[in-house]
Amino acid sequence: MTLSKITRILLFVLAGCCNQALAGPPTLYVVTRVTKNYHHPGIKNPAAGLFATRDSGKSWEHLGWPYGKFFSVSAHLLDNGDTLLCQACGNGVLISQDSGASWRISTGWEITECLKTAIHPHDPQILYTATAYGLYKSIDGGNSWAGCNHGLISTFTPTLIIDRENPEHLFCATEAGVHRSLDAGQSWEPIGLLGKGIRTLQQHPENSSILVAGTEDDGVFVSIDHGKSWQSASTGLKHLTVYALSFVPGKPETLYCGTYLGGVYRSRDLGRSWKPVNDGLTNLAIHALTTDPNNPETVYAGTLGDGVWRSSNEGDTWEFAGLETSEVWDFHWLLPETAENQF
Amino acid sequence: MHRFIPVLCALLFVSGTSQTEPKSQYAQDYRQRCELILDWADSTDQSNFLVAAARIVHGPNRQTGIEMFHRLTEDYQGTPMGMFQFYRLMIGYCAARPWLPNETHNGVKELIRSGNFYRGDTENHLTLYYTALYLAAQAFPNLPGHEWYTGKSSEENRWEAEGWFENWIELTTTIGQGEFDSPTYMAVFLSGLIGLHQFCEDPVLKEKIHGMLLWLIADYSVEHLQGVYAGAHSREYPDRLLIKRHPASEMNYWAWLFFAQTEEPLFNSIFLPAALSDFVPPDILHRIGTERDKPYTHNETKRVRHILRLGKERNPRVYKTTYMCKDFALGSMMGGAVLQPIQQHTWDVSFVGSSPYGTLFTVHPFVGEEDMGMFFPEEMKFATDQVIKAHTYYADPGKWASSSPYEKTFQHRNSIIVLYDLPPGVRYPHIDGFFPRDLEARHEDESGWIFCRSDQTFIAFYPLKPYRWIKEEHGWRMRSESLQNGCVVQVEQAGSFPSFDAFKETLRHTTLVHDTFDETGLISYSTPAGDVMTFAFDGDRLLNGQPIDFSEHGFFKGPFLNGEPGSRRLEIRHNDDCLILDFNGQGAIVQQMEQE
Repeated sequence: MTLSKITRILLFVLAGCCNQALAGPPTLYVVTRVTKNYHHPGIKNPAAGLFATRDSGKSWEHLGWPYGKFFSVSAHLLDNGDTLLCQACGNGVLISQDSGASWRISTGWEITECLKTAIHPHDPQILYTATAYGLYKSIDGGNSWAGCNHGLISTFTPTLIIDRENPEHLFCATEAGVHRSLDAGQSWEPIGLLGKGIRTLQQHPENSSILVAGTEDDGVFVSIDHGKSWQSASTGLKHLTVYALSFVPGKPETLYCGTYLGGVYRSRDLGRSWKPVNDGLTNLAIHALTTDPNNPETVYAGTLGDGVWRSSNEGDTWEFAGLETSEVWDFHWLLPETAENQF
Repeated sequence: MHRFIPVLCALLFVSGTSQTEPKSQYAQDYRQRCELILDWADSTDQSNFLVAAARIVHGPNRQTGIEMFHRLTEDYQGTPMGMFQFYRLMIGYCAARPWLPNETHNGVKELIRSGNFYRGDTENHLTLYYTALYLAAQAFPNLPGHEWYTGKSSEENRWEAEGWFENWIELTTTIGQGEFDSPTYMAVFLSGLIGLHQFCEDPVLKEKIHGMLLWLIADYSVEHLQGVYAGAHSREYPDRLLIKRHPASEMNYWAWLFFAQTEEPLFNSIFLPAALSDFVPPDILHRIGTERDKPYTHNETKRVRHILRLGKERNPRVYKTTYMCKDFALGSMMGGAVLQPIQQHTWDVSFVGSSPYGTLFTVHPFVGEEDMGMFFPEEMKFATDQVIKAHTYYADPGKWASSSPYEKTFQHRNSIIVLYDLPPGVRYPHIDGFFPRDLEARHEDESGWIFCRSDQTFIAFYPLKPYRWIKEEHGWRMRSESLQNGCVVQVEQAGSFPSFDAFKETLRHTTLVHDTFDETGLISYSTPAGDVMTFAFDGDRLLNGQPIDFSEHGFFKGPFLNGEPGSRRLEIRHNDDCLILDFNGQGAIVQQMEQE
């Protein structure tokens, strides 16, 4: 048993005695793909991959592999106090069940170019990964995986989300529109935006019937009926390639979107109108966005090549927050209190 | 038609083994060339696991090799390693293992525990990665997952590597390679597979890898011309497309090693696995690769590498044709789509001679998001911008390597029609032709033909639209800026005509009809041999009025290699010798046949 694991167990025991300690700050996981210097294997480059910060970016801890093609991460608080981390990578799905102390490539040669993972909110044995070759599901914590693509029009699947209200219901983005499964991935049906390359999907944190989608060339779309119908929501967007979207807890009408070369846009009316908010932001290629769950005024933007940027005033102004020169591909929050309370 | 019967124990006859001294003159000469590579490793300034292993195995500089190997294991601790480092490490380790001290063994073991070996995303990457993973699992059996960087046990890692090779063999022997006929990357495949074949202890996998080695070398041998990998390529770097006899070209090295028709090349450690191996190609492949007295046409079907999006099929077929004779080769793939990203080389003439260039071709410099989006999972716009930053030549309007959806070819024997249909608004609305600077003649004739001569090759090039010449370092760039464009090219051996003038006169009297090209895109060309080729960009390829039937194209089809798509079987034939590679799981994979 490693020293860090022993330390974490002790902390968990202490936390059990003093609940306040466990309910510390949330962890923001950040997936960086490569640095601007590009990773030449065999040379001691600065690490890329998975980083975590618990102090709003003042300090960063690197976790796991330092080199590879990393796309995204999902996190889940396990009953033993450890964190389950599932990283989607070029080499497959990397899984850690001990908060990042050790890792296993859970997938074999068949599964590659993994772009997104999703963890069942109530059963961490059930995992999904969305890849450039389709969707795969594991029901044994990643020990085995099986394809679950029946009904998909396109198997290029950049992302997948589990319906918070009903985890049997899944939504996935494909190169040919949004698909839905009502049977935990056994079958899929196209439900909207057919023919459009969907880059990102998000579910509203308070109203699960509201979904938003960012597209390759067509801006933002909003659905208020679980994806049955979609309306274009791009008024004011001058850049229609949308890689990232973020809701704001406690502000149900506020939405941010991250565009390619147009920076960050903010909407106060759930996408009916948008305004660019890039003051201080020096790189306008945005691939990840998120809002601090404990402080909804604070927004993080992940740039493609210039690391993480933070705004403490809802995007009005931005300041550099770390991971210099990194291509930031994904953000994921883990709140310490409960497994369900992820954002 | 000859009839062949199988003979026993083909494996032993067609390649050397660790216990059998090669007997044929070819095999002895081949081993001598390997010895030269080991001599180079003894004195090179290069430092890597393969160089170290070569010194250790060779002997004279064994101690420096042992020290180098150990130093490298220390240097790489904590350093990310890609598949190229990983395969050098494991092939080198397998070769040098008996001489390494315990501390070095432990260093290697620690690397596979704590290392970070990136698998990569191309066929050659995966070949090297799984070669290394297999050999590592074999070298360190029975280790639990926590002793591995993968988190998997030795057995799980070996299964994974075996599974990948099974799948790769299935794809390659049924629908072909995706990174096919790439001069640079064929060298990588061969390097990894020779090492795996040498050190794999499982006789079943060893025989499969042996069969695949012969498959790839056979594939190369029919398109080998005096050190040059002729014909169309899935991937190649621009400088090596212009300078066919590039001194650093990896395939020039393999040509020297396998076929021995060219000068000793600049050595590189990528070739050391061959020198560390007992493998010797069978003599039949040497003969196929060198005997060019009788011209022949060779057809192949390959596949597009995995299409992730923006395509209806995962692996559309690629139809290749190569005409070979002792003086030149004319080769093409049919085109009409983005078949490969970035480095596609759709057609060329390669000719023998003293020129380092020895080639002539045209290209449309296409740049588009499709190029990235079809084959890579990253965001299309960003990936395109990144490639432009990393490889400035990609967005260069003068680039020489390019796929283009607006380019199609129709080749029949030593004649080819190349058409371009560039849409309005295309990023670069021109095509370029490369004419090497040391052509003996480049004569623009009033008939519209441009007549070229190089050593024993006559080339007639008919541009369909106006053009201008731009003089550059390596030759003349023929630039033509019409959207609907193209050329007709006829290549002949000088010995077929009494004189260069006679060749010109023959071409002046061929029938080339392109009056309606602007309206219909149609062109009709009667070759000197009397065949009529009719072609329109959006129409059929008609030969003597009959449409070309690609179902008859063959997986391999020619005088030396024959195989049907999906058959998992390749027949290699030269005169009375025949070698069968059969991956159908019944009997030996490599079967020597004798004439009954």
